[in-house]
Amino acid sequence: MSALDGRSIRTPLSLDCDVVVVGSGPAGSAVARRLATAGAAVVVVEAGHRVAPTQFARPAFSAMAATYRDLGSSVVVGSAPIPYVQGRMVGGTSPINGAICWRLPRDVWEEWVAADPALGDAIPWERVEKETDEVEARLDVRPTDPAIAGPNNELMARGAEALGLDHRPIRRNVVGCEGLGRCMQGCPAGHKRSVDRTLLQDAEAAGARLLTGTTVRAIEQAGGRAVGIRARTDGGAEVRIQARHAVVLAASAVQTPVLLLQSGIGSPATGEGFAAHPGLSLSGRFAEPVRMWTGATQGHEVTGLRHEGLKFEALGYGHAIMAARIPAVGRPLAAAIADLAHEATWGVALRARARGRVRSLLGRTVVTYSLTPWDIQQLRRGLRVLGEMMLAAGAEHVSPGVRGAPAHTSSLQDLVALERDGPRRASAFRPVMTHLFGTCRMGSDPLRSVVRPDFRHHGLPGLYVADSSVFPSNTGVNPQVSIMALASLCARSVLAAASPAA
Amino acid sequence: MNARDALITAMIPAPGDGLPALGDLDLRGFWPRFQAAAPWHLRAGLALCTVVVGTVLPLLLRGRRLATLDADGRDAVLQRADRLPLCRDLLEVARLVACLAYFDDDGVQAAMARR
Ligand SMILES: Cc1cc2nc3c(=O)[nH]c(=O)nc-3n(C[C@H](O)[C@H](O)[C@H](O)COP(=O)(O)OP(=O)(O)OC[C@H]3O[C@@H](n4cnc5c(N)ncnc54)[C@H](O)[C@@H]3O)c2cc1C
Ligand code: SF4
Repeated sequence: MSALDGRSIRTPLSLDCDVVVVGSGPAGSAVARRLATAGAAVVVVEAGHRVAPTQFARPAFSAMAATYRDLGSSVVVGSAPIPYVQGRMVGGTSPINGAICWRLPRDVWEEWVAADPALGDAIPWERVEKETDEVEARLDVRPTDPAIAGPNNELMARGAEALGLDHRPIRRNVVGCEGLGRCMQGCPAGHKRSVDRTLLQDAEAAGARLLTGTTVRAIEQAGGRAVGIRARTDGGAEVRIQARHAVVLAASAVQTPVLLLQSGIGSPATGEGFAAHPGLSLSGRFAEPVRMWTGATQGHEVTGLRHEGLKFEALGYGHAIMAARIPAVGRPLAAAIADLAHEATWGVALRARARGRVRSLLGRTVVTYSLTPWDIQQLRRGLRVLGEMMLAAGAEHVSPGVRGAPAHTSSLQDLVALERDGPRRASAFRPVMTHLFGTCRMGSDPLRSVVRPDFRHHGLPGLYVADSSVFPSNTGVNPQVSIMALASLCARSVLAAASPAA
Repeated sequence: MNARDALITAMIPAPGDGLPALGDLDLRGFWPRFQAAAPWHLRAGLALCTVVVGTVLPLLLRGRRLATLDADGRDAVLQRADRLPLCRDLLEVARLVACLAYFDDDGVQAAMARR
């Protein structure tokens, strides 16, 4: 194992390798593992730091300051300032995500192939499935154990059952979970099988070198191909890494296009097509304490309306984020905090039709994105369903958190009215986005995509993109497992190009 | 008390039931860490909210800055601000910061764990 901490690197550093991977999240870790175990000399460069489970703090502020990009407060510019949240640490967002695991749905893959048949040859369904099986086995993906699910998840099951909606315990990448409810601040007991503790560990065991606290600033080119990267350590040193075979970008659907644009490797589609799953939450008060901060952080989901682009999940936040989402200030906020133990919060994630773009302006990342009227209508529908489920589960009242709608209600009519006649403007809602896609799409047409169906950049040999930037669309489900599966296929493409005879 | 602290502490007056008010907590350790960790737009949002809700609005409504009003007066200004479009958006930032500061406190964490 060989890791370098950029905080203590203060003099110029030069490294060489076969492949340099930018980013150590699900995509970067999956690529690094496949390449390193195949014998390639790999260097993974990560802007964030390694955080051990025992260092995950209980207070949200301390935890988020150490692990979230911009304290989780990056926002899109558009019809409403929607936050998009990303991790920034070894393992990317994986150590602080909800641990929900979904395979790429076959219907989504079919949509992609229908739009661009070349994808069917480059990422055939059987290979996607095979890679997914391997990822799931390594991450120990399994349904939430009812013994530790906790009231928030149990109530959702009850509500969905009452409404006759398909529902199930969430499949998660955890082993021995005690239901401490702190997944989104990092599991302090090390039960989450995040990529830093699985795929990246495998890569390092196979010889991959990890350089942390180091931000890649440009992709270097020579002789018409990508030959390495330039970076800067947190200690202030310049770093150059030369890559004999490939540069693989896995910096996420926001940072990957920014890196391409900042390196002058833009093409018409670079940064275009930003897609997401805006998520809204709805909370409700129960007579008995729910204590949302105990139990499996996100242990139950309702899948019955996935065909409408709607997926419902029990949510689990720490106290600070729960309280920050209460639409009140001063005394009403204080009263709600005193009553926090009785609150349940569930979320709806939408497979939105909106498409935005990622740009780099004066060195700053700008994401523009505005919900479409259909998206807003579906979000209202999602809130109605959440509200009905929660009332069916026994809530005294629910709080949709929509400006211009009743703050609390226990009336089904109010929820129906919210869906039918509720606000049409995006600013009435308070969504958050955690699943991001599509800014360097894969495809055969260089005008409409950035990489080929086999993940190679259209214009620059030696350059690959492995993260969810390449997804032709959003998927409607939690993406981490699909990202790892596709990134493993990207690594196979790198290996095939490096040894054509193989 | 400066305008920023007056605004933030007014966000969470004593919830009761064994929980302290934000104003009862020692925030001296929080602010430097917030300045170091928060991105510029969050710091700018808080600064703007401090000016608008901590100074301009209370001057217009009550002829005094928030920091010089009593607890009832501060709460009245916040409730009014929460109904005004621009102020309401700015208060989202103040609420986030107030909640991060409040639940960063060991005593509050311990009190919540007992609930
Ligand atoms: C709070 C939250 C909860 C979530 N819950 C779930 C869930 O339960 N299930 C699920 O499937 N998905 C979940 N997601 C989404 C999922 O975690 C992401 O889709 C996934 O991690 C994206 O993987 P990635 O490798 O593309 O990017 P990331 O995980 O974002 O990793 C990219 C890495 O690249 C690094 N990087 C960026 N730029 C540079 C640079 N210039 N130089 C060096 N390094 C750089 C970053 O620091 C980061 O560590 C959640 C997301 C969030 C924010
Ligand atoms: S629910 Fe708690 S114990 Fe389980 S993985 Fe998440 S943080 Fe760890």
